[in-house]
Amino acid sequence: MTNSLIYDCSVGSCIRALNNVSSMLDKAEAYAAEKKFDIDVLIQSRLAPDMFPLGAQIFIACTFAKNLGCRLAGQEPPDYERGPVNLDAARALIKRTIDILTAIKPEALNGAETRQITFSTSPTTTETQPGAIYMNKFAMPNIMFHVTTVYALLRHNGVPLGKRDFIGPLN
Amino acid sequence: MAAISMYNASMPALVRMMKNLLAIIAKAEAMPDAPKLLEARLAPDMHPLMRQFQSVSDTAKFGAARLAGQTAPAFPDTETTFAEIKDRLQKTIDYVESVDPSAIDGSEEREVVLKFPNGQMNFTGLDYLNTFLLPNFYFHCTTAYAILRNNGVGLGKMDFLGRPE
Repeated sequence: MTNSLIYDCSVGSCIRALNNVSSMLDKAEAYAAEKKFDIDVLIQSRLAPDMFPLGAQIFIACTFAKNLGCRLAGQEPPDYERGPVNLDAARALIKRTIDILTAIKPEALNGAETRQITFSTSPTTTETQPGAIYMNKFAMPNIMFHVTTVYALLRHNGVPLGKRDFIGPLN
Repeated sequence: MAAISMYNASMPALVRMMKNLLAIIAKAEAMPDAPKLLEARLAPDMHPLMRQFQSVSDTAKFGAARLAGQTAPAFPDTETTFAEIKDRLQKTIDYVESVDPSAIDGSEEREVVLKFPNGQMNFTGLDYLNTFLLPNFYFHCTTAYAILRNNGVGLGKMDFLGRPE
């Protein structure tokens, strides 16, 4: 808790969510070892044939998170190269993203709520909105969507998790 | 314009997402055997779709009430049909929209106490918003979407996010 509303609602929430995903992956890995299956089968699993697999859910969550943090801080976000995501790649992406977010100081977001930010809403469309709108209507719903889908995929495949793993440590 | 405040960091998102869920439900209702979807789960020890919608409603109404220092309306979990859960979600939207922004703005440091049968949790308003209210709310919205997608309902991410206004 930093007394910075915009920081806590964006960078703070993203760091917490990604740390929770990281802990969930630890439990998934332990479950795979116990059941003697290849963890990367799980990382490739989907809830529906036309939904992204778990690895891509993590990639997308990380992409939205670093884009949100960097843009609110007035920085150009680094490009993340798209590619197949196995467990090791997923862990590396989460670590890289948490490192980027952790380097952003709350003061860097001063005034970000009203700064105009341009972001892509699809491969062919962009939108420009004040930072608060970009965060509340676009970036955070997307991030929460993808991290919840990671949890849903793991639960659907038998990994023993509970809501507390998703919410993470409190206070 | 677009200044950030406790109210506009929370309540508009709750209302928007519940409206999106109403549109998602309309698509689910068009499916053959639609009523059975309300009993669908992603795992045997996860809650079914109906309970996910009820949890969306509870999370939103308690979120608004706690941050505003009010008492939330009672919604007993008696719904069994899409019509009934749509009505509940609409009533929840109406309640959240009825809360005066000035009652929520400035609640960053307000004490929020959650009481459970075996104890209680104490938060500041800001920690309650970001570590509890919004994660739980999006969790249940997304899980409802995931259950429907897992059961073949034709939805896309734009149904979840809502169309641009």
